[in-house]
Amino acid sequence: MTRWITPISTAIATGVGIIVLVGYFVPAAWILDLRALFLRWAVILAGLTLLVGIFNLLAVHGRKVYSLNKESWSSLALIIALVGTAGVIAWQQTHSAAALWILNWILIPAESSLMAVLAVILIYAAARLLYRRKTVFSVIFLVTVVIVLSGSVPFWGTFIPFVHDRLLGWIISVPAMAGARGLLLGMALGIIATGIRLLTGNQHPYDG
Amino acid sequence: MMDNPQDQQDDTPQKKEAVPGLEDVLPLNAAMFESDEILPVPFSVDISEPQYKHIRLLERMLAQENEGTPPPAQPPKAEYHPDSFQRFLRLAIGVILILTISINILYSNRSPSAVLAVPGEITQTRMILRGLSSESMVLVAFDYEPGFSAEMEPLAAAVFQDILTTQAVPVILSTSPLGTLQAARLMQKIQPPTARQPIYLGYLPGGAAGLMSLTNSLRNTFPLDVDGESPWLPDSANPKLQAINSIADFAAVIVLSADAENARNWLEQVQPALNKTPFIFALSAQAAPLIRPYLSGNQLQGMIGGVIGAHAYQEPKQPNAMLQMTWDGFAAGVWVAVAFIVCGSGISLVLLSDPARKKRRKQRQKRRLP
Amino acid sequence: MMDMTEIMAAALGFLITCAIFSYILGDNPLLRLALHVLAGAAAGYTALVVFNTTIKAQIYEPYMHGSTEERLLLGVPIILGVLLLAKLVPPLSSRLIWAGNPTLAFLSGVGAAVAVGGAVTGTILPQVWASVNVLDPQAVMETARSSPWSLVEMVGNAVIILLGTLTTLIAFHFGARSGQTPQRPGWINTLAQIGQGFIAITLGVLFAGVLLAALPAMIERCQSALEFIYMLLGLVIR
Repeated sequence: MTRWITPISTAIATGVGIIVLVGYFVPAAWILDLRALFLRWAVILAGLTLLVGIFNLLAVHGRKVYSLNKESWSSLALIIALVGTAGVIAWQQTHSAAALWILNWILIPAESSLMAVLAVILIYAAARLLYRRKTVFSVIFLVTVVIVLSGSVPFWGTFIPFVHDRLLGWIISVPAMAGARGLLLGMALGIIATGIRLLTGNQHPYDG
Repeated sequence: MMDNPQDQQDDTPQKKEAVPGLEDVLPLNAAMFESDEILPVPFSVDISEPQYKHIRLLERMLAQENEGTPPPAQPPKAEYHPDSFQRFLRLAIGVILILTISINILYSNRSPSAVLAVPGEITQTRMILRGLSSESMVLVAFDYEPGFSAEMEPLAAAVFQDILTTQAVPVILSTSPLGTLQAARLMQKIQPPTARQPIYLGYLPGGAAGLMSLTNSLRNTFPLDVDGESPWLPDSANPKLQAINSIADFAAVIVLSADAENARNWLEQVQPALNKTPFIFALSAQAAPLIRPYLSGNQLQGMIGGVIGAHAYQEPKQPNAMLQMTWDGFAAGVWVAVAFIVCGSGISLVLLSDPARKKRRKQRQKRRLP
Repeated sequence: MMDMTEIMAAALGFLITCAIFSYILGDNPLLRLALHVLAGAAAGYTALVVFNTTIKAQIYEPYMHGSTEERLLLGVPIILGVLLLAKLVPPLSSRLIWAGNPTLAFLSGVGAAVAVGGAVTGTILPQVWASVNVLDPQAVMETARSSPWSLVEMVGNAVIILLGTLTTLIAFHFGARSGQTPQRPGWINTLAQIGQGFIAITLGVLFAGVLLAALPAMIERCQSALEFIYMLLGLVIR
């Protein structure tokens, strides 16, 4: 059975993928109906995959707790937080006061703090950029950063003339937009190349 | 491990084993490593020519291990700890930033300064939202994580102020599991008691595939709402939802997102199906630059980006309460960042251009290499 | 009178904030503990939301109240979902790990098709069209009538946008023949260098955007910390 599973999986990926892709360009009723069915199944399976992932997280950290090494305490904290939160939400509902309490006093403080630390790290990295890499492109990068930051907010209650009303708007809507468009087109071409390789069976990321 | 007839007689090396705890697992005998002879291998091994060359090279390297002279005794040099200086610098940046922001929070006068230029896309967004009516149903996607709530909530409050004023009904969903809970938190903060209650459809898994499914069949993708009830039944709490059969039937679609990838998925999968329905993004400052090409390509009808965008959106007669508390601290924080970046870059340029320092830096780098 | 649960909640938030801010000094056990608690709480909430959205709303309710045809069609995602468990349950995963491959193949096929279709219809075609139409003839005529300097600015910006888009794409071009090192022709190299300049500007704007997104979080944490300290001072004074 194991030697047949790769061709079967490839046939599933290719067949399903081609029907979904053709539906973008050929609006035939039977193709659209089949595509809608496959997409609905994909949504269900995506949810189930997420659940399997969470159970896997529990299993991995459970093994770490059982092995009693120096990471066991943090793994125990994760398991307690996971089971505790799931228990409370199962009892109280997903939009209850208890859920809002967990959001307000655990999730937001933790994630916002990570973002706040990111601000410090970003300033540190930008301040040291020229020390580590002195090139023309680093200078262009830093000058752009300084112009965008200084043009976005007032200094002592007043916006800097020319920088705020002309230079900032021009940089964002002309050269930065041109670069962003190039990046988006490049990313889209890369996605198409990778997707076609998967749909034609040249790549099997699902084998494992 | 290979058995050796001497194992049973001489157990001293095993008791003083080199690998503690493995005495009964690895029946090692030190005599194995004292002999210069290659131990007989009970099976024949095919070695290719490259492998033979690698074996000879390894043998020569091992033979050279004991050759060479020890390095001359030198006085110990003062150790250079780059990590401690970097840690000090990060700490200094953090402390100065926190102090500056805290002082501004405590002593700011809480009156936002005027914005010199309001971008066209923000004016357009205002016009669309103020054109809604009490008969309008607006689809709002809360697609940001809790870490971005500090930036996105003032944006969302700016958008919802106009939706609630026009008495339009927001229909809320999210491609993030925590999205609708974030929406509930925002509603708790800004919604007056007399406003119409939003409809919470819930979480949409599957990323881009989920959004495509939403475009194909809205009702099949969300058969139940967050309370486990069907919102599509005629006798449900919101009978006006009966008029909505597809995503294009909404008066407007608004996406609140902090991620450019997520915003791009909405544009690629949902926007083509919207026909004339206005499509508006309220984005984090980190996502807005990458989505701007779509705005200039007319795939979006309006966009507000970051705290700056929320500041430009508000009008002097209707200031954004959430923004007022943070604007002065935000401006001060930005200027601290600019000061550090400019000073750091200037010092780096000076240090790099000094030849003596350059030489000392190269020497330190050589010493760090093995 | 202040609620004790309010004070404890604020204290918890403050402790989590301090633990994560300690990352500025470097990795430490307190930070790891806080991150594990965050991961656990987020995963626990996500599990319940996904259970309600997927298992209850998309499987259980249609199965209990749907038609025979709907129940039969539901069999496919249910079977594929059960097969996925083979990758998780240890006694099964050692022998039947391959059983979950068809499920992942289905998801990969749909995901790839949606990504390709979206990239073509949602990005490539509209953005190429927008690049070609960067100078709208009607807008050019109206601008020419209003002010020649505005026309020069408009045409100049359009040229820069076109140049920037093309050179950014060229910057990612690398070609090589077998047996040769990857090398670009001279003129492509020059255009690629210009493209790198545009990329540097775009990345600068993005970097500034990330910083502008992170600063409100710092402000919000400082505000919360100050409120907690006021709360404590209020308790002490009383």
